Amino acid sequence: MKRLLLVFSLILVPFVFSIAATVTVWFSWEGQKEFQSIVNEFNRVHPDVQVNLVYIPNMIQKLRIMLASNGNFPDIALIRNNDLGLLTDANVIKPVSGIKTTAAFYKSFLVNGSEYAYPYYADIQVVYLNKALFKGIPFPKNDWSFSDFEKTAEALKNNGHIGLLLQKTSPYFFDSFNAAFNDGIIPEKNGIPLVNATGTFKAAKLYNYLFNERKIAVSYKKMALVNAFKTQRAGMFMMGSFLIPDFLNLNLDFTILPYPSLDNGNPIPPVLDSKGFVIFNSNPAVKEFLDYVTSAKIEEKFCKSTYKLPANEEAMKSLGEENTFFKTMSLSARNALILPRSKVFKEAYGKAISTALTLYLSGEMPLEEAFARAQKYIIQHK
Amino acid sequence: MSLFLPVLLVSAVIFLFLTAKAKPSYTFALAVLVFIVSFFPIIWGTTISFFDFFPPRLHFVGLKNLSSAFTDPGLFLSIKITAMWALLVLILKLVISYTLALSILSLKKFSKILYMVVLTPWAIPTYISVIAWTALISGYGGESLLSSLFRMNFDLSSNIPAAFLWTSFVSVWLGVPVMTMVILSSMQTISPALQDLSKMEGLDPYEKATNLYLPHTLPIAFPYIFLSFLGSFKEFTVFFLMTGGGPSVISGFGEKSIVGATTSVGVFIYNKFYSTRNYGVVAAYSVIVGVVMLILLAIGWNYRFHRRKNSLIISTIVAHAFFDFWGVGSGMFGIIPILFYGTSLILFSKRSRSFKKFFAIGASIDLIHMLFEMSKYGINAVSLSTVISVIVALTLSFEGKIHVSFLKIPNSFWKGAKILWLSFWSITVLLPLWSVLFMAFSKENIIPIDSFFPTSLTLSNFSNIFYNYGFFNSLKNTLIISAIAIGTVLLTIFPATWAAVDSKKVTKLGNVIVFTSFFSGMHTLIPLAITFKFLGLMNTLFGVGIAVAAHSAAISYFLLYPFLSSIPKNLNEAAKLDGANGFVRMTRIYLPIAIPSLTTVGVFVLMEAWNSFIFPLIFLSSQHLYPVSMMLYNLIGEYGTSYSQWNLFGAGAILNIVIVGTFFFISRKYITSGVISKGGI
Repeated sequence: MKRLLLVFSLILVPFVFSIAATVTVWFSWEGQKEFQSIVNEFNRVHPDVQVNLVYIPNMIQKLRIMLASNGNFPDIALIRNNDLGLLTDANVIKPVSGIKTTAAFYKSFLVNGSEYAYPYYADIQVVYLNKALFKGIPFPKNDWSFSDFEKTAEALKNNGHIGLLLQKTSPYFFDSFNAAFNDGIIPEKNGIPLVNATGTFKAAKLYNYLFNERKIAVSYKKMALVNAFKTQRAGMFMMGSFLIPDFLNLNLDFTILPYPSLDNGNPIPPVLDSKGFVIFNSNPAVKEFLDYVTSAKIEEKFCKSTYKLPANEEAMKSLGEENTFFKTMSLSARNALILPRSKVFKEAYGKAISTALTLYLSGEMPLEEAFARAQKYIIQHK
Repeated sequence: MSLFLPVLLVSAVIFLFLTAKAKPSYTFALAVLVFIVSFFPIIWGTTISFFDFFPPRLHFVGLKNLSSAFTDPGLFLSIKITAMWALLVLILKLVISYTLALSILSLKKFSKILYMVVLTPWAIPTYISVIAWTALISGYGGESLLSSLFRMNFDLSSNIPAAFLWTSFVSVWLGVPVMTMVILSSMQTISPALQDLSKMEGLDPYEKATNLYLPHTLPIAFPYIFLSFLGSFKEFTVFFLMTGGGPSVISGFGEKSIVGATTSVGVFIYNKFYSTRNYGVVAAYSVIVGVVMLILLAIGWNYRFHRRKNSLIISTIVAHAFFDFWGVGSGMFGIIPILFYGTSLILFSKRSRSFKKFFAIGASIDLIHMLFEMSKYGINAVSLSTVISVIVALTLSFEGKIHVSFLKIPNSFWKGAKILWLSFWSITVLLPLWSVLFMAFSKENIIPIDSFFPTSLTLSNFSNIFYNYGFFNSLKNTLIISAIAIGTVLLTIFPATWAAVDSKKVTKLGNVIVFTSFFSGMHTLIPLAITFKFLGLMNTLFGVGIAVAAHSAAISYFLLYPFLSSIPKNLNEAAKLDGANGFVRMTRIYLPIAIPSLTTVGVFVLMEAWNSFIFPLIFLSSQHLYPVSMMLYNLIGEYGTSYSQWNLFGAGAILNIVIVGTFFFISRKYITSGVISKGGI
């Protein structure tokens, strides 16, 4: 009987070792094809690990559903840094260690003193400029001020174009203006964002000045906004750097600039929209895969074709000088705004800011009342 | 989650109690399906509303969550907005569908082609048509091809009337095909003798419509019409994709909730889901919305009893009083119209025909008061009780009345109007199709559209969809889901419906199906996911298929029950005398006769399965299992924030429409013939 068991075990051993560990990865946002080819390459050179890639159209929606239904999480998921609070609060992700990245990326995924993700890349907000529409208009430089920005928009408008396109009720863009008047951060007290203060009022008034008083800025929904720029209706628009590859494919005559500084010298910090891999199930195969994709060479490969800022310092150094676009993106990242990772910021702040801006800019509600209501809503959802 | 098993057990007992005496050999399969997918998630959702629930942690809080939801002014406003919107959609849908049905019925040529054109929106998945319409309407900050036609701005993010009216229109556009089909089919039940009589009397089209078609078709089609109103009450996709619930309104900016001009209850619950991780709170809001649905359903249910108007009036009075007391009705003023409705009830019990007049007076007072209040306080003054009373009054006033046209309009006018109307509606049907075609053949990823043809044409989007995005695999998954859903519905619904026809005791199961169908929605999806995880059905095509099947059960039952009931009983009795058992009678007598009706049911379920988007989104977590709807959603990404690939989406959408359209075309005969019987839907 013992002999039989031994023979049986010997037969089984090779089979056991031939079974590859499976790692399920949820991926979202741009670069689906590029990441798939990286995964294919990894699977080819690492026969001991099999990575199963799933593209998730709306990551936070899917993660929320999994949280609510106590569902099965993947081993790894790519998330936006300001979605982190939701997952740490639910205690479903593991802290990581030994991460080598820039200070901004590290801070992006830091919650209560622990790092919770392998930072992968970031999109950064920039100003896109339609070069073909600048005939007779002085072209601004990287270190432009708000006055230059305003004059440029005015000149474009006088030439019959839209001076500036900006989604006026989107907190994603307002955050930068809000931070510009609040020492470069979104002010918080005991983890609760503060919106009922002078700095935020000044930012909202600046919006009112651009959209309603000077009328040099116009707000469209995102799809119309991008198309208006493509079809040369608008001279400038503020958006994340993720549009660069598409515009290059279309051979658009365009360039990008960093956000301008306020006239008092304070920068308007663009949002560093960082994405990183969080770990739900920690095991050697997961680590092996993450070490592979966040290595300098592989990260550079992904970010080069998708125009993302790599989190890997070596990749960043290499790409930072690649072309004008990467140079401007790196320059923008120096002043970048890192959004709070708290649950209340994610769940209440955005909705409250968007509603307050809509009501204030449409003239339906006075500024102070709109933001006082926003503050109450945020506190109620803390 | 230690609560899960006890709740499962208790709900099984309640379910058995509710459906007891149903012939188990015929109804068991359907009962299991309804229990798992609809009934248990409702009970589970209701249970967790008594807890603070941060999965997997549960903490009993009694009525705290329910009381907080019950007193949230944001919820009041959302219910009012939804009621007003649903009423508008219902009226528009009825007017458009009736006029289209009448026009098609009176055509001598091209009636079949035009009927197919009218039915076309049904073959286009909702998420495709809504996105196409949004691009056409809002354009660049409200400046679009349509806005230039109307000479006004249609910015759906800031223009409240535009947002409210365009979302209504798109919902009507989506609902007109089935409504027209139901009305047209019900018109075919009018006896030829009556039709000949109307010709001999020389009735003009208006008189014919009001004296012949409306009185005969309304009682037959009304249960479907009311269910369609309840369906509008649960609408989510149109708002979510077109306006996201906006534009913002002052009265909607509260501490607990933020409600915009188009925040329907579906969007409201969805927003709650996103603003808290305490799912006990979300469940509490869902329970309150479910109770509102239940009250409305009770009124709709009473329309089935044509001779028992007292049930209808009583349920309207009770609903009126409840909504007035709660804060979504007319408040203290509600006492005045209720007095009229009470008088109407007394008159009805004394068999006086003037009961309708009193009801109409009450509803008029209700309406005038609401409009007056709305002129002062805007949308906040909408009264759900008024909306309900007006619907009931309108339908009562149509019964047993002779409408005479005082203006003698020449026939040529009616002919011209008919041609114009059908042409206009055909263009309206084809507009979003053109928009999707534009995207599909455009080289550039461009939207909104501002020219008739794309500047650069290409076919590469189609090849891209096939080679790089696994269209074939997605198609295979969609076909599997559809086959599972159709198979499950036919195998469960047919025996159970036959049993209900054969024995009145079984109809209880039908009632439970209807109840669960209208109580469930966005809010019961999470409990359903928990149940599916427990049963190992998560991330399986089978899970998605049976979820679609269970959600199609109500409409399938509504389609099949009247048809089987209309089959002469003597056939059944004769077979019984010959010694045929139930199974033989079901398979040898009823099944062959019911094949056209079953095909119609199959087509309905196919449409549901093909268009299903929420179930795959929630239940599937493997790329190789994604159906076409998910593949297309991947191309759009996080709508409004991601960078969407519209040209690829357009190509995928066109392929999808062609496939569904082909199914639709092949089965058109069954769709039009098997929809209705004399018993009504």
